[in-house]
Amino acid sequence: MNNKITAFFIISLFFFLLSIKSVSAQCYSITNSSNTLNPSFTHTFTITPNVPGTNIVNTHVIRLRVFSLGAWKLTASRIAITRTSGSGASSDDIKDTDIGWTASIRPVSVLFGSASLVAPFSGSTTLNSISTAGGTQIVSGTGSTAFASCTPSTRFYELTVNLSVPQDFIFNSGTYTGMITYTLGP
Amino acid sequence: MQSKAIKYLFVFAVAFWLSLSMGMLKAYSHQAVVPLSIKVNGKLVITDEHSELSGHSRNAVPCNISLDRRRNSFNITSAHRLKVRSNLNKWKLVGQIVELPTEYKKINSKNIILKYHTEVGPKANPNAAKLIAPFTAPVSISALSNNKDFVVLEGNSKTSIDKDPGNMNNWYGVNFSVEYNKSYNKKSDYLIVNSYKPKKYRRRQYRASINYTLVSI
Repeated sequence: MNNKITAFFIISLFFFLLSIKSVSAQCYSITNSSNTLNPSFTHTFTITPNVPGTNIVNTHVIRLRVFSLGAWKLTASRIAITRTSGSGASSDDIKDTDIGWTASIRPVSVLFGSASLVAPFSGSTTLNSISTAGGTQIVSGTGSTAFASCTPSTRFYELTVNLSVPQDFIFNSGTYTGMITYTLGP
Repeated sequence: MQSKAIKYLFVFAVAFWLSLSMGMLKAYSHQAVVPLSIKVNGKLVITDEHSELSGHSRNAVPCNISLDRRRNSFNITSAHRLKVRSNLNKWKLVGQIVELPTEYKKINSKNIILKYHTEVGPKANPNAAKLIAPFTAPVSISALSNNKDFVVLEGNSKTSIDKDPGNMNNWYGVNFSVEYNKSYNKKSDYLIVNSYKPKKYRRRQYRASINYTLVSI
Protein backbone atom coordinates (compact mmCIF):
# COMPACT_ATOMS: atom_id res chain seq x y z
CA MET A 1 0.00 0.00 0.00
CA ASN A 2 2.86 2.34 0.88
CA ASN A 3 4.35 1.68 -2.52
CA LYS A 4 1.15 2.85 -4.15
CA ILE A 5 1.12 6.04 -2.11
CA THR A 6 4.75 6.67 -2.99
CA ALA A 7 3.97 6.08 -6.66
CA PHE A 8 1.14 8.57 -6.60
CA PHE A 9 3.28 11.18 -4.90
CA ILE A 10 6.03 10.63 -7.43
CA ILE A 11 3.56 11.09 -10.25
CA SER A 12 2.17 14.18 -8.57
CA LEU A 13 5.67 15.54 -8.10
CA PHE A 14 6.38 14.90 -11.78
CA PHE A 15 3.43 17.00 -12.84
CA PHE A 16 4.32 19.64 -10.29
CA LEU A 17 7.83 19.84 -11.70
CA LEU A 18 6.31 20.21 -15.14
CA SER A 19 4.35 23.10 -13.74
CA ILE A 20 7.45 24.67 -12.23
CA LYS A 21 9.15 24.40 -15.61
CA SER A 22 6.28 26.31 -17.14
CA VAL A 23 6.41 28.85 -14.36
CA SER A 24 10.11 29.38 -14.89
CA ALA A 25 9.32 30.19 -18.53
CA GLN A 26 6.99 32.93 -17.24
CA CYS A 27 4.29 34.51 -19.27
CA TYR A 28 3.53 37.96 -20.68
CA SER A 29 0.45 39.08 -22.52
CA ILE A 30 -0.58 42.32 -24.22
CA THR A 31 -4.13 42.78 -25.40
CA ASN A 32 -6.45 45.62 -26.28
CA SER A 33 -9.60 46.41 -24.31
CA SER A 34 -11.40 43.63 -26.15
CA ASN A 35 -8.74 41.18 -24.94
CA THR A 36 -7.46 40.63 -28.47
CA LEU A 37 -3.89 39.34 -28.45
CA ASN A 38 -1.14 40.98 -30.50
CA PRO A 39 -3.26 44.11 -30.91
CA SER A 40 -2.67 46.79 -33.51
CA PHE A 41 -3.78 50.34 -32.75
CA THR A 42 -3.81 52.28 -35.99
CA HIS A 43 -3.82 56.02 -35.33
CA THR A 44 -4.76 58.37 -38.13
CA PHE A 45 -4.26 62.06 -37.43
CA THR A 46 -5.81 64.56 -39.79
CA ILE A 47 -4.20 67.94 -39.34
CA THR A 48 -6.02 71.00 -40.65
CA PRO A 49 -4.44 74.12 -39.13
CA ASN A 50 -6.79 76.76 -37.82
CA VAL A 51 -7.08 79.67 -35.42
CA PRO A 52 -6.60 79.16 -32.59
CA GLY A 53 -4.27 76.19 -32.96
CA THR A 54 -5.34 72.98 -31.25
CA ASN A 55 -3.82 69.56 -30.81
CA ILE A 56 -5.25 66.43 -32.35
CA VAL A 57 -5.12 63.67 -29.73
CA ASN A 58 -5.32 59.93 -30.32
CA THR A 59 -5.46 57.41 -27.47
CA HIS A 60 -4.69 53.72 -27.22
CA VAL A 61 -5.39 51.55 -24.20
CA ILE A 62 -3.47 48.34 -23.72
CA ARG A 63 -3.82 45.64 -21.07
CA LEU A 64 -0.74 44.04 -19.60
CA ARG A 65 -0.98 40.59 -18.02
CA VAL A 66 2.06 39.09 -16.39
CA PHE A 67 2.83 35.87 -14.58
CA SER A 68 6.27 36.36 -13.15
CA LEU A 69 8.19 35.55 -10.01
CA GLY A 70 10.45 38.58 -10.54
CA ALA A 71 10.66 41.92 -12.26
CA TRP A 72 9.19 42.60 -15.67
CA LYS A 73 9.08 45.58 -18.01
CA LEU A 74 7.31 47.05 -20.97
CA THR A 75 9.70 48.37 -23.59
CA ALA A 76 9.10 50.18 -26.84
CA SER A 77 10.78 50.87 -30.12
CA ARG A 78 9.96 53.39 -32.80
CA ILE A 79 10.09 53.74 -36.54
CA ALA A 80 10.72 57.45 -37.12
CA ILE A 81 8.00 59.63 -38.61
CA THR A 82 8.72 60.29 -42.27
CA ARG A 83 6.87 62.18 -44.94
CA THR A 84 5.70 59.92 -47.76
CA SER A 85 3.99 62.52 -49.94
CA GLY A 86 3.79 66.30 -50.28
CA SER A 87 6.57 68.82 -50.66
CA GLY A 88 8.53 71.39 -48.73
CA ALA A 89 11.74 71.85 -46.80
CA SER A 90 12.47 68.84 -44.62
CA SER A 91 13.00 71.20 -41.68
CA ASP A 92 9.23 71.87 -41.80
CA ASP A 93 8.22 68.20 -41.79
CA ILE A 94 6.47 66.70 -38.77
CA LYS A 95 9.02 64.87 -36.69
CA ASP A 96 8.90 62.62 -33.65
CA THR A 97 9.87 65.63 -31.53
CA ASP A 98 6.55 67.23 -32.51
CA ILE A 99 4.40 64.34 -31.31
CA GLY A 100 3.40 64.72 -27.68
CA TRP A 101 3.23 61.75 -25.35
CA THR A 102 1.43 61.37 -22.03
CA ALA A 103 0.44 58.10 -20.36
CA SER A 104 -1.07 56.67 -17.22
CA ILE A 105 -1.14 53.17 -15.79
CA ARG A 106 -3.57 51.66 -13.30
CA PRO A 107 -3.93 48.21 -11.76
CA VAL A 108 -7.20 46.39 -12.23
CA SER A 109 -7.70 43.65 -9.58
CA VAL A 110 -4.01 42.80 -9.74
CA LEU A 111 -3.02 39.76 -7.65
CA PHE A 112 0.25 41.12 -6.25
CA GLY A 113 3.13 43.37 -7.21
CA SER A 114 3.21 46.83 -8.72
CA ALA A 115 3.89 48.71 -11.94
CA SER A 116 4.83 52.29 -12.70
CA LEU A 117 5.81 54.47 -15.64
CA VAL A 118 9.50 55.13 -16.05
CA ALA A 119 10.83 58.66 -16.61
CA PRO A 120 10.45 60.50 -18.94
CA PHE A 121 7.24 58.61 -19.72
CA SER A 122 5.87 59.35 -16.27
CA GLY A 123 5.36 62.96 -17.42
CA SER A 124 4.82 64.79 -20.67
CA THR A 125 7.37 63.93 -23.28
CA THR A 126 7.62 63.47 -27.02
CA LEU A 127 7.79 60.44 -29.26
CA ASN A 128 11.52 60.77 -29.82
CA SER A 129 12.03 59.61 -26.20
CA ILE A 130 11.48 56.13 -27.63
CA SER A 131 14.61 54.85 -29.29
CA THR A 132 14.52 53.61 -32.87
CA ALA A 133 16.95 50.90 -31.76
CA GLY A 134 14.35 49.51 -29.33
CA GLY A 135 14.56 48.57 -25.68
CA THR A 136 13.32 51.88 -24.28
CA GLN A 137 11.68 51.10 -20.98
CA ILE A 138 8.20 52.51 -20.54
CA VAL A 139 6.88 50.57 -17.54
CA SER A 140 8.69 48.86 -14.68
CA GLY A 141 6.81 46.15 -12.78
CA THR A 142 7.03 43.26 -10.37
CA GLY A 143 4.79 40.36 -9.47
CA SER A 144 1.87 38.76 -11.22
CA THR A 145 -1.40 40.21 -12.29
CA ALA A 146 -3.14 36.87 -11.68
CA PHE A 147 -2.54 33.19 -11.27
CA ALA A 148 -2.33 31.72 -14.77
CA SER A 149 -2.45 35.36 -15.71
CA CYS A 150 -1.83 35.09 -19.42
CA THR A 151 -5.30 33.88 -20.03
CA PRO A 152 -7.46 36.93 -20.75
CA SER A 153 -8.63 37.52 -17.21
CA THR A 154 -10.15 40.44 -15.36
CA ARG A 155 -6.80 41.09 -13.66
CA PHE A 156 -4.38 43.29 -15.56
CA TYR A 157 -2.62 46.65 -15.76
CA GLU A 158 -4.27 49.17 -18.00
CA LEU A 159 -1.90 51.51 -19.82
CA THR A 160 -3.51 54.54 -21.49
CA VAL A 161 -1.32 56.45 -23.94
CA ASN A 162 -2.26 59.80 -25.48
CA LEU A 163 -0.43 60.94 -28.59
CA SER A 164 -0.95 64.49 -29.77
CA VAL A 165 0.01 66.43 -32.88
CA PRO A 166 -0.26 70.25 -33.01
CA GLN A 167 -2.17 71.78 -35.91
CA ASP A 168 0.60 74.20 -36.74
CA PHE A 169 0.83 76.11 -40.03
CA ILE A 170 4.56 75.43 -40.17
CA PHE A 171 4.18 71.77 -41.12
CA ASN A 172 4.42 70.76 -44.76
CA SER A 173 1.16 69.41 -46.12
CA GLY A 174 1.26 65.77 -47.16
CA THR A 175 1.18 62.38 -45.49
CA TYR A 176 3.52 60.97 -42.88
CA THR A 177 3.95 57.49 -41.38
CA GLY A 178 5.64 56.02 -38.34
CA MET A 179 5.28 53.16 -35.88
CA ILE A 180 5.57 52.28 -32.20
CA THR A 181 6.08 48.67 -31.06
CA TYR A 182 5.59 47.62 -27.44
CA THR A 183 7.18 44.48 -25.99
CA LEU A 184 6.37 42.99 -22.60
CA GLY A 185 9.01 40.77 -21.05
CA PRO A 186 11.39 40.06 -18.18
CA MET B 1 -9.50 1.19 0.52
CA GLN B 2 -11.73 2.39 -2.28
CA SER B 3 -12.00 5.86 -0.73
CA LYS B 4 -8.19 6.09 -0.55
CA ALA B 5 -7.96 5.24 -4.24
CA ILE B 6 -10.42 8.03 -4.95
CA LYS B 7 -8.29 10.45 -2.91
CA TYR B 8 -5.15 9.50 -4.83
CA LEU B 9 -7.02 9.82 -8.08
CA PHE B 10 -8.10 13.28 -6.97
CA VAL B 11 -4.51 14.30 -6.17
CA PHE B 12 -3.43 12.95 -9.53
CA ALA B 13 -6.17 14.88 -11.30
CA VAL B 14 -5.27 18.10 -9.51
CA ALA B 15 -1.62 17.71 -10.39
CA PHE B 16 -2.54 16.96 -13.99
CA TRP B 17 -4.78 20.03 -14.19
CA LEU B 18 -2.07 22.20 -12.69
CA SER B 19 0.50 21.06 -15.21
CA LEU B 20 -1.92 21.67 -18.08
CA SER B 21 -2.92 25.13 -16.89
CA MET B 22 0.67 26.15 -16.28
CA GLY B 23 1.67 24.83 -19.66
CA MET B 24 -0.87 27.13 -21.31
CA LEU B 25 0.93 30.18 -19.97
CA LYS B 26 3.64 30.07 -22.57
CA ALA B 27 1.29 30.42 -25.50
CA TYR B 28 0.35 34.09 -25.22
CA SER B 29 1.57 37.15 -27.07
CA HIS B 30 3.71 39.92 -25.70
CA GLN B 31 3.74 42.61 -28.40
CA ALA B 32 1.52 45.41 -29.63
CA VAL B 33 2.03 47.73 -32.58
CA VAL B 34 0.84 51.30 -33.13
CA PRO B 35 1.05 52.31 -36.79
CA LEU B 36 0.88 56.11 -37.10
CA SER B 37 -0.53 57.87 -40.11
CA ILE B 38 -0.61 61.67 -40.24
CA LYS B 39 -2.25 63.66 -42.97
CA VAL B 40 -1.64 67.42 -43.08
CA ASN B 41 -4.17 69.26 -45.20
CA GLY B 42 -3.42 72.51 -46.97
CA LYS B 43 -5.21 75.39 -45.32
CA LEU B 44 -5.79 79.08 -45.95
CA VAL B 45 -7.23 81.17 -43.15
CA ILE B 46 -8.10 84.85 -43.02
CA THR B 47 -9.32 86.60 -39.91
CA ASP B 48 -10.28 90.11 -38.97
CA GLU B 49 -10.37 91.78 -35.56
CA HIS B 50 -13.49 89.92 -34.52
CA SER B 51 -12.92 86.46 -35.94
CA GLU B 52 -9.32 86.40 -34.68
CA LEU B 53 -10.56 86.60 -31.11
CA SER B 54 -13.63 84.44 -31.48
CA GLY B 55 -11.83 81.68 -33.36
CA HIS B 56 -14.28 81.83 -36.26
CA SER B 57 -11.65 81.82 -38.93
CA ARG B 58 -12.47 81.24 -42.57
CA ASN B 59 -11.09 81.84 -46.03
CA ALA B 60 -13.24 84.91 -46.77
CA VAL B 61 -13.93 88.04 -44.75
CA PRO B 62 -16.35 90.83 -45.64
CA CYS B 63 -15.24 94.33 -44.63
CA ASN B 64 -17.69 97.19 -44.60
CA ILE B 65 -16.63 100.72 -45.30
CA SER B 66 -18.78 103.76 -44.86
CA LEU B 67 -18.35 107.50 -45.10
CA ASP B 68 -21.00 109.80 -43.71
CA ARG B 69 -20.55 113.50 -44.17
CA ARG B 70 -22.73 115.86 -42.24
CA ARG B 71 -22.54 119.57 -41.80
CA ASN B 72 -20.30 119.48 -38.79
CA SER B 73 -18.93 115.97 -38.84
CA PHE B 74 -17.45 113.45 -41.20
CA ASN B 75 -17.57 109.86 -39.93
CA ILE B 76 -15.39 107.32 -41.69
CA THR B 77 -15.53 103.67 -40.78
CA SER B 78 -12.65 102.28 -42.66
CA ALA B 79 -9.72 100.67 -40.88
CA HIS B 80 -9.49 96.90 -41.01
CA ARG B 81 -6.73 94.53 -39.93
CA LEU B 82 -6.72 91.25 -41.78
CA LYS B 83 -4.47 88.36 -40.82
CA VAL B 84 -3.58 85.66 -43.29
CA ARG B 85 -2.26 82.22 -42.37
CA SER B 86 -1.35 79.58 -44.91
CA ASN B 87 0.63 76.36 -45.02
CA LEU B 88 0.48 76.46 -48.81
CA ASN B 89 3.30 77.96 -50.82
CA LYS B 90 1.25 79.66 -53.53
CA TRP B 91 -1.75 81.76 -52.66
CA LYS B 92 -3.27 85.16 -53.22
CA LEU B 93 -5.60 87.54 -51.45
CA VAL B 94 -8.39 88.71 -53.70
CA GLY B 95 -10.80 91.55 -53.04
CA GLN B 96 -14.13 92.39 -54.55
CA ILE B 97 -15.97 95.61 -53.89
CA VAL B 98 -19.73 95.89 -53.88
CA GLU B 99 -21.19 99.35 -53.50
CA LEU B 100 -24.20 99.51 -51.22
CA PRO B 101 -27.19 101.83 -51.46
CA THR B 102 -27.06 105.00 -49.39
CA GLU B 103 -29.79 106.94 -47.68
CA TYR B 104 -28.46 110.24 -48.95
CA LYS B 105 -26.72 111.24 -52.12
CA LYS B 106 -23.57 109.27 -52.75
CA ILE B 107 -20.09 110.70 -52.32
CA ASN B 108 -18.18 110.47 -55.54
CA SER B 109 -15.95 107.38 -55.31
CA LYS B 110 -13.13 109.30 -57.01
CA ASN B 111 -12.71 111.11 -53.72
CA ILE B 112 -12.27 107.95 -51.69
CA ILE B 113 -8.80 106.52 -51.41
CA LEU B 114 -7.82 102.97 -50.38
CA LYS B 115 -4.49 102.47 -48.63
CA TYR B 116 -2.85 99.12 -47.88
CA HIS B 117 0.15 98.24 -45.81
CA THR B 118 1.49 94.97 -44.44
CA GLU B 119 2.91 93.73 -41.16
CA VAL B 120 3.78 90.31 -39.74
CA GLY B 121 3.45 88.47 -36.48
CA PRO B 122 6.59 87.50 -34.52
CA LYS B 123 6.60 83.98 -35.95
CA ALA B 124 5.65 84.88 -39.51
CA ASN B 125 7.80 85.16 -42.59
CA PRO B 126 7.96 88.85 -43.69
CA ASN B 127 8.82 87.68 -47.22
CA ALA B 128 5.88 85.29 -47.47
CA ALA B 129 3.88 87.72 -49.63
CA LYS B 130 3.90 91.13 -51.28
CA LEU B 131 1.37 93.76 -52.27
CA ILE B 132 0.48 93.77 -55.95
CA ALA B 133 0.38 97.00 -57.96
CA PRO B 134 -1.51 99.32 -57.93
CA PHE B 135 -2.05 98.61 -54.22
CA THR B 136 1.56 99.33 -53.39
CA ALA B 137 0.36 102.98 -53.38
CA PRO B 138 -2.94 104.69 -52.48
CA VAL B 139 -5.70 103.84 -54.98
CA SER B 140 -8.96 105.59 -55.71
CA ILE B 141 -11.97 103.36 -55.19
CA SER B 142 -13.28 104.51 -58.55
CA ALA B 143 -10.45 102.48 -60.14
CA LEU B 144 -12.03 99.27 -58.85
CA SER B 145 -14.82 97.65 -60.82
CA ASN B 146 -17.90 96.65 -58.92
CA ASN B 147 -18.29 92.89 -58.44
CA LYS B 148 -14.95 92.17 -60.08
CA ASP B 149 -11.97 90.55 -58.37
CA PHE B 150 -8.77 92.47 -57.79
CA VAL B 151 -5.58 90.90 -56.40
CA VAL B 152 -4.19 92.71 -53.37
CA LEU B 153 -1.56 90.31 -52.14
CA GLU B 154 0.35 87.44 -53.64
CA GLY B 155 1.93 84.79 -51.41
CA ASN B 156 4.97 82.77 -52.43
CA SER B 157 5.48 80.69 -49.29
CA LYS B 158 3.74 79.53 -46.14
CA THR B 159 3.23 82.32 -43.65
CA SER B 160 4.99 80.62 -40.70
CA ILE B 161 8.70 80.95 -40.17
CA ASP B 162 8.74 79.07 -36.86
CA LYS B 163 6.64 76.66 -34.83
CA ASP B 164 3.70 78.30 -33.14
CA PRO B 165 1.39 75.64 -31.64
CA GLY B 166 -1.35 78.13 -30.79
CA ASN B 167 -1.15 79.77 -34.25
CA MET B 168 -1.45 83.21 -32.68
CA ASN B 169 1.84 84.69 -33.90
CA ASN B 170 2.34 83.26 -37.39
CA TRP B 171 0.12 85.64 -39.34
CA TYR B 172 0.88 87.84 -42.33
CA GLY B 173 -1.13 90.99 -41.84
CA VAL B 174 -2.79 93.27 -44.36
CA ASN B 175 -4.14 96.52 -43.03
CA PHE B 176 -6.25 98.78 -45.15
CA SER B 177 -7.93 102.09 -44.56
CA VAL B 178 -10.17 104.45 -46.45
CA GLU B 179 -9.62 108.18 -46.64
CA TYR B 180 -11.50 111.05 -48.14
CA ASN B 181 -9.44 112.89 -50.69
CA LYS B 182 -9.70 116.41 -49.38
CA SER B 183 -7.69 117.84 -52.17
CA TYR B 184 -10.56 117.17 -54.51
CA ASN B 185 -12.82 120.03 -55.51
CA LYS B 186 -14.87 120.51 -52.39
CA LYS B 187 -17.25 122.88 -54.03
CA SER B 188 -18.64 120.34 -56.40
CA ASP B 189 -18.63 117.41 -54.05
CA TYR B 190 -18.25 118.28 -50.43
CA LEU B 191 -20.37 121.35 -50.35
CA ILE B 192 -23.62 121.27 -52.20
CA VAL B 193 -25.49 124.53 -52.34
CA ASN B 194 -29.17 124.53 -52.84
CA SER B 195 -30.06 127.55 -54.90
CA TYR B 196 -33.28 127.98 -53.02
CA LYS B 197 -31.71 127.50 -49.62
CA PRO B 198 -28.26 128.91 -49.87
CA LYS B 199 -25.52 127.88 -47.46
CA LYS B 200 -27.24 124.67 -46.48
CA TYR B 201 -25.03 121.63 -46.51
CA ARG B 202 -26.39 118.41 -47.87
CA ARG B 203 -25.59 115.20 -46.16
CA ARG B 204 -23.65 112.73 -48.30
CA GLN B 205 -22.69 109.12 -47.84
CA TYR B 206 -20.76 106.26 -49.33
CA ARG B 207 -21.20 102.63 -48.35
CA ALA B 208 -19.57 99.52 -49.73
CA SER B 209 -18.47 96.07 -48.76
CA ILE B 210 -15.11 94.70 -49.78
CA ASN B 211 -15.07 90.95 -49.57
CA TYR B 212 -11.56 89.48 -49.19
CA THR B 213 -10.94 85.89 -50.16
CA LEU B 214 -7.84 83.71 -49.91
CA VAL B 215 -7.25 81.55 -52.95
CA SER B 216 -4.62 78.90 -53.55
CA ILE B 217 -2.75 79.21 -56.83
